[in-house]
Amino acid sequence: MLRDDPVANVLYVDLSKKSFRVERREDIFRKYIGGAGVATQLLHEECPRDCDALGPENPIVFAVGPMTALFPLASKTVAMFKSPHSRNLGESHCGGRSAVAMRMAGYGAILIKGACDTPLYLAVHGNRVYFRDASSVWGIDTVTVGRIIRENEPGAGLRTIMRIGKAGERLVPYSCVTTETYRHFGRLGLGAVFGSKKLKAVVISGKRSLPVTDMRQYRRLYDEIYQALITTSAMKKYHELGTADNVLPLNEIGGLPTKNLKTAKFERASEISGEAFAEKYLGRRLACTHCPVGCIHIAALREPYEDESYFYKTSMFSYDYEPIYALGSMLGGSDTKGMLGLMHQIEKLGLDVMSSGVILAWATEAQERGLISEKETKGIKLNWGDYRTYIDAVKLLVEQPNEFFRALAHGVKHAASIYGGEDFALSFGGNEMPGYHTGPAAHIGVLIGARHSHLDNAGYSIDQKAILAKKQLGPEELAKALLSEERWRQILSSLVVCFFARGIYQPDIVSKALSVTGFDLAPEVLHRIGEEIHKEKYRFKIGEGFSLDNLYLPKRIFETPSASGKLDEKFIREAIEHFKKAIFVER
Amino acid sequence: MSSRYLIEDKIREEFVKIALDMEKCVGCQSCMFACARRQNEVGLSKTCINVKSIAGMERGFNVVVCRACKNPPCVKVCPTGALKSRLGGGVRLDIKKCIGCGYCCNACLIGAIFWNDEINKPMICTHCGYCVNFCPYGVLRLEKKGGEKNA
Repeated sequence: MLRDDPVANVLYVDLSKKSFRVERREDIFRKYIGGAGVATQLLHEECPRDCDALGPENPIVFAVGPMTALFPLASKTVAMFKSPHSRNLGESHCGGRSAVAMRMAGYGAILIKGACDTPLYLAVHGNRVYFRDASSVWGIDTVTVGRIIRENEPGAGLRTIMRIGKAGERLVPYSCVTTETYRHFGRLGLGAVFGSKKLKAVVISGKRSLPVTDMRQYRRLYDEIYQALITTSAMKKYHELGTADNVLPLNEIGGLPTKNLKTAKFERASEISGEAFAEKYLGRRLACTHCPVGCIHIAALREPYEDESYFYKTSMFSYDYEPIYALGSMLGGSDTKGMLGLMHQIEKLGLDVMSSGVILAWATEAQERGLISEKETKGIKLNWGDYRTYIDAVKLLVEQPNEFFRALAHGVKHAASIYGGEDFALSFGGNEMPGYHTGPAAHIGVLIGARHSHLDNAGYSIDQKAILAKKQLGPEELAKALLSEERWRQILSSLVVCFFARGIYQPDIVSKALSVTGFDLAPEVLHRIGEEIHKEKYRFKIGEGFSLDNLYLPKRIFETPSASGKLDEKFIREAIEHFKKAIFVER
Repeated sequence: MSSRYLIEDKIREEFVKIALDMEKCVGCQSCMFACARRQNEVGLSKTCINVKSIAGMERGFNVVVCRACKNPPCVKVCPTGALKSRLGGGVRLDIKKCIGCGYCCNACLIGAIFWNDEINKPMICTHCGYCVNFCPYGVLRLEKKGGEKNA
């Protein structure tokens, strides 16, 4: 790396003392590049073993990489923390303006420790750091608080505003952090970690020049990568219909979880498809900073006020494949207006949309089976596809007025451990399931993935390729395929390259791009670093008590045939054993 | 003299300017990075274009860049003659004459005069058109001489 590259600057913030310092950490950036690799090391250094995920000692790490602001699509920020949801490694990625803003502010990583007694928000403008009182915005939803902070801070166009809603404030362990209104650090509960520190928001902005080794080479490479990006078919797909493009193909093969995975085919899928949303509602497309793709799809919904004629409001909601799965097919609903309303409610509260959908689906089935009654639900009768009741339920889930909603607020597995129905509580590694019942690889991938996300190793993609090729992989091959994908993805997420661009950022291109930032890493070296980062994540996980033995598998996934046919528990357990051997033997 | 101004001199003969269709903008800011690269800079400190949301991403974007005024207010307030009207619209900056007073910034309603903090002097789009190559959705385009009527 280059000596004058600010990427190695780490900003350490202590909220308890309201102090900060900057340290140059070339040691870890040289070894682990940036993003996920560096954040894992900072977590090892700063997160005491067995600490309370909602205690002041749990650090929040944000990290970007040397290619951020230099090359297109190197525009994700990696957040690392101990998750209050899985009580283990917490990792979440987010785009928006976050990554470029951090890089332009002059940091490769920001680490936030401690906690404050009264609400505050942090503003980082280049080398100036401010601790601002947030008492007046505590309790305000994620959309409105963004509007308020926007008016009070400099750096329009050059800043990120990360913030939480009520869910994070009330420590719901699957609450998210929202940036730029529509992008999220989702899944493992970063929002609750913010909330536990009384940290309502983090604003980051900056504007600077960055060094490269050879300007001519840099510009040539930039043009090459940019051209490749804007001409691929993958980019076209993400720009046109966006990730919602996946609804129909997944349903077609029978891999779209429906009604709490009672089935994997939704008869009304065409009503909730990417095509249907685009035709009826698509109002605008947006992009993350330095990404020509523009995959963010915004629905515009015009609704009348009931009490006054000719009085309308037009609201803008962001939609994607995962929210459509979690709040659409999973809840057996095809009323898109209702679904957008629920999406918006979840957005404003700052909940993870996937976890919320899976939990509501479990609750609907539990009520259907009589495991819970209207006494628990405070009079709400949950019904498949009835969005009015779902909107009431998510509000209560955040308010937590009784034992039942408190249980729901702690995740599907926790709720099922109290009320029963564990066989259909769709949780993997402590995280509610993503939208794929494509075959064994999808579920194994989430179970063994370091952050229990479908994006760890894209098992669903391995399944779909096997279906196309009409050739199932054996358990050992499958474990190896997942592991090798996850290892390479450690490099992408250390460069903070968006996974949508993984087809372009192949090892040789990555190696060339890194060379202009002063990193001399051949493709085989990159593979080795990826492997090491993955091991470092597992070292953290095992230290915090994670074990690959006896992983919980909800029975439901074996009852409902997947796109690859009925799943076999023995096969899955075997694949996990092979995975275990592969990561531990090579140590 | 930086390369930016040499380019400007070259294209002066055939007047071109950047035209905008802001409604199409997705806010990717690729143009901002392109402007910097054109000046052999990496990052955003030298960019002469800014893309910011209009009260939040849901309302779309405001693309802030010199609109090549025919009778530029920034020229009128320049006390040293460092800014001169460019043939057909926009301005030319003679950085040697500039004293960094910042009057031009205040005079520009659009906010299209950016500031170079290192040398304490303004930075203004030269309508070189490089950014247009990196606008994937046709928000920015180049308008040649005679095309002003469409502006």
